[in-house]
Parts: sequence; C-alpha cells; structure tokens
Amino acid sequence: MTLQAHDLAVDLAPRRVLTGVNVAIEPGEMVAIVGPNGSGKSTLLRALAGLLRPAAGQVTLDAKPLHRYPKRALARRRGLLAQSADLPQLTTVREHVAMGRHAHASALASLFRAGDQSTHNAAIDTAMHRCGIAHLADRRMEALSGGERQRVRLATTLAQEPAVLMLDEPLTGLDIEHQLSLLDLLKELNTTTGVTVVCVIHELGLALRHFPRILAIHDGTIAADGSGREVLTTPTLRTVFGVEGCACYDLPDHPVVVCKSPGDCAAGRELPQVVTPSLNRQSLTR
Amino acid sequence: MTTLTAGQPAVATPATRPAWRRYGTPAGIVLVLVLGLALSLALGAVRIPLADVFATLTGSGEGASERIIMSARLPRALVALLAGANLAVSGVLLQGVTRNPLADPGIIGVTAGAGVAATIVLAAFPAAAHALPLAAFLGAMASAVFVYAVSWTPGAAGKGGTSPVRMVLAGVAVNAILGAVIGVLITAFADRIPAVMFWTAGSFNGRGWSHLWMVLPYSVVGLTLAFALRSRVRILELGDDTASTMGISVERTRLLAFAAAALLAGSAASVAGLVGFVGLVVPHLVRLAMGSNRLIVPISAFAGGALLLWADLAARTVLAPSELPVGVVTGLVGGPYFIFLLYKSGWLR
Repeated sequence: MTLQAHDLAVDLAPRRVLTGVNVAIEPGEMVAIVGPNGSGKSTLLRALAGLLRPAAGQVTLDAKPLHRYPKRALARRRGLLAQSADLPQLTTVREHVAMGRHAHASALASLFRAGDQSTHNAAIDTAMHRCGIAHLADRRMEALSGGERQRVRLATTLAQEPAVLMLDEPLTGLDIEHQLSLLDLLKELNTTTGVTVVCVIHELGLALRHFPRILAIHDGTIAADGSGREVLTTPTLRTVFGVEGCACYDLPDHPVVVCKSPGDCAAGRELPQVVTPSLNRQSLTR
Repeated sequence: MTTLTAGQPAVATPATRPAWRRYGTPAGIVLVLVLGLALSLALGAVRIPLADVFATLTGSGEGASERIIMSARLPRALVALLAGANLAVSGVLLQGVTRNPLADPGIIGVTAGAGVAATIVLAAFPAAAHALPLAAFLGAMASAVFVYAVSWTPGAAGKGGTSPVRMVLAGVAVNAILGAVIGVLITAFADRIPAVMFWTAGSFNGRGWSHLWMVLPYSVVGLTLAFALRSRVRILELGDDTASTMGISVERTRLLAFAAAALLAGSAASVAGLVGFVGLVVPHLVRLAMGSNRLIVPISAFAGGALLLWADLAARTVLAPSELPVGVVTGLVGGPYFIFLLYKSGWLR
C-alpha cells in the first residue's frame, strides 16, 4: 500500500507545525524519520497515521484519502506503536495482544465478543511468536521489563495485521541491547512479511544502520530524503541538527554519526571509537 | 499454533489464575446474592420461614407472608439489587474512561447533582417528596452533562475532544460548587437537616414497586451499553492514539460510556439516595478476587447487587426497629473487607 502525503500542512494550534510536505512511501519500504526535537517528526507520523486532520493537502493510502476510510478499515491497513505507553490494569500479555484484533472483529461480534480470543487465536499467536513473547503469554504486563513490554505493544500492533507499521520513537527507555533487538526485529518483519515500516527515531547511527531510507525533518518541512549516505551529510547535519559532524562509513555495517569537525572524518582516523555495537543474539531471551 | 511455545521451559508459563478463581469466584458471588435475596425476604419485623418465601416466589404463597413479601420486601430487595449493580458498573465504566482507579460516580458530578436536587426538594418543598426520585435523577443528569461540557475542548477544524484528566478536574470543580450549594441550603433550612442527612446517607426504607419500575429501564439501557462497550473501554486504557489507530472511535466511546455511567449512577441515586463506596470499591473488589479484568462488567453487577442487598438487610435488622442508613453499612463492612483484600493481595505491602 502506497502511503502518500500531498502538500501536507498540519496545525497544532496556535502554530503551523508542518508545511508543504510531499512524500511517497512505497510498499515494503523501511523509512526512518529523523530530526531535532520540535521539528515536527512525530506530527508528521501522526498525520500519516490519520490521527491529525490536515490543515491543507491530504494523506492518501492507495490513492484514497485517509479520512475516507472507515476507522476499522484503516486500522486493518496501518498500525501505530504510539509513544506513550499506558499500562492497562491487570492485563496478561495475551489479553493485551488480543486487543489488536478489534478491527478484525465484525461490528456485531465486537459488541458482544470483542476481545474474544478464540476466533483470532492464529493471528495473536503469530504476532506473539514473531515478537518473541510467546512464552510470556500468561504473564501480567506489570511483571514485565520495559523491553518486554515494548515487544508486547509491538505484537499488539502486529495483531492488527497492518500493511503499514508506524512507530513513534519505539527505542525510548530501552537499553542498547533491546534497542538493537527491536530494530533487528523490525527488519526481520519487513523482510519476511513485506510490511512497510515508518519509524520516528532519534539515534542517527541506528537510523543509518537499520533504515535504507531516511527523511530528515527541519522546521516542519522535509529537509532531505534519501539513503543514509545522501541524507546524513555534513551540511545536512549542520542545517538540520545544528551540529558539526559526519557519518563515517569506514566500518561498513556500523555507520556512526559523530560530532567532530568534518576534517577529521576526511582523515578518517581520528574518529572516536564509538561504534554501534552489533547484537549478540545469544543473550536475547527469546 | 500452540506448538509455537513448545520447547519453552514449563516454568516460563506460570498459571497466574487458578481455575477455582476463574469459575469459583463468580459462582460464589451469585450464591451470596441468592442467599442475600432469600434472607432479605425472610427476615424483618415478621420472620417468614424460608418455605413460605419459596412458596410465595413460586406463586403459591398466601396470607400475611405473601402480602409482606410481595408488597414490601421483594420490591425493596430488587431495588437494592439494581441500585448496587448500577453503581458498581458505573464505577467500572468511569474508572476505565478516566483511566483513574479512584474514579466513581461521584467524580462526574452525578452524586452531587442528585444531592442538590434532593436537598432542594426536601428542604424547600417537603410537600413534593413524592417527586424526590425524579428530581434527584434530573439533578444527576444535569450535573453530568455540565461536567461533560466543561471537559470538552474545542479543537481545530471542529475536531474537539475530551480528555480523561479534564474530565476528572471538571468533576472536582463541579463537586465543589454543588457541595457549597448543599451547604447553603441546609444552613437556610436548618430544621430539615435530619431528612436531608438521612437521604444523603442512602436508604431503601419504603422503596416499592414504583421505585423499581423507575430505575429498571435505566438499568437495562445502562447495563446493556456497559456490556457492549466493555472491550472498547479497555482498549481506551492503552491511550487515545493507540485506541484510535486500532479502530476505536475514541470520543464516541467515551461519550457513550460516560452517558451509560451517568444513567446508571443517576437512577441508582434517585431511588437509593447517596450510597458511597459501591461504585468506587466493587470494581476493585472484583478485580482483586478474580485476579483479572475478565467479565468485570457482569461480575461487578452481581457483586454490587449482592453488596447492597446484604447492606440493606443489615441496615434494617441490626438495630431493629430503627433503620441504619445503608451507606453507613457499606462503609462499615465493606471498608475493612477491602483492606483485608488489599493486604491479602499484597498491594499494601
């Protein structure tokens, strides 16, 4: 499903937060949205998800404006892992994931048996299995670690079986190991299921390493759009983020964005040895 | 699909809820309710043997027993049952919608609204006492509508909305205003204080079939709505953005749940007066006893009904021939039991 913004403008009273955004995200793409705090990246994601009404322009999914989709129909096509993590009371992992099936229960059935798990067991099991939380099914959410909770929330979104998966800063509050494992999981989902992934992310190094395409947002517009090498250049880092730096590709799989004078990068040797660590899969509790 | 978890060590899937809890607790609540109903019909100024109670209920009763049960005890017990169910389910809905475990029908102004209307009738128009239930219900609805209106924020392009926090704060403000109004009224009509106080503490004294018919339609509508909305209200607990992208109409769900809660609590207040504690605590009692949120709406309805049934039974028998306000009993008995459950579950450790 192609997700497209046409001349999109969004107001969050009293100011205009996004202006003239044009972007097309094709099926199966993995796109990171980066930008400094307050640049409008979360707003862009929420507008792309249909949560904000455009002040001008529109967002379309398969050429049909989002607001023309019934809510449930839209929920079957795109899922959002929102930034805030409200913890529902006394809920087991399985019950949490089952909530993702709401959009797939028929209207009448949902009146009387929504949250009913029996008809949706396969989708729920698959989502939990993909996220590596099948063994936690009967645990309470309160008893889980932050990393496990985030996987449960992701599984809940996957239970919607969306074609477009959106994530708003999903790495917040996770340690580096869980950050990497979550990103690897997204890549795996993208490869195996073909789901489109659109992710707001702060860590530029991780964005470079895990996302083939990066959108840099600055002052409510798209400042750069392309591969990591094209987007995270020294001039873009300067204008968008206000820092001096460059991406170093000396270590092929481990690009790092550093804040150091650009001359150092050309020399290539005086870079601090801050390498995004690769994941030791053995240590994951899967 | 169940084979996915094969290979996981058995300890990784602890059974958090034993079966006896899942089925035993609801069964126990229903048993307590039926027992309370039987005793409510049997006990009082005149003791009626359970055999006669059974005979009356099956249509073959006769004489004084039959008259006492059919004209006084049965309608009164049913009113208590419905009021308890209404208050408990109202609490479930409001705790979900406001995402606040301390929410109860008082928080949306229903209690204070009913209180103001009842105080006006009792203090200023004592001759119109027969209109008390209707006045209390209208007062409850008016103040709920006002709280909802205050918690609404107009947004850009006509896309306004409410928020749980605004709802709670608006309720607090409206409660303060209405509490002050009640204070002014009982100061001005000091001679009517006993009547107001007795109504305010809640009572089923003299409630009959007419009260039952009054509360029943609202109970049916409110409980049906609550049952239909229960899973949506749970999804709302995940946050507005998440619920919305899952296909929930957030504002509509919130409005319907709010309306159902107001109908339930307002109709309960109209026939029972201001019975506290039930709406706030029964949902928690049920969660603690069940260890989960499963079937929270129907089980809370039964538990709330059973609680008020027993509370009313105690209220009219413990100090017979005088009657305690039923709210006093719910507080005196329910409070300590709630603390016991909190300790047992480890919440206060």
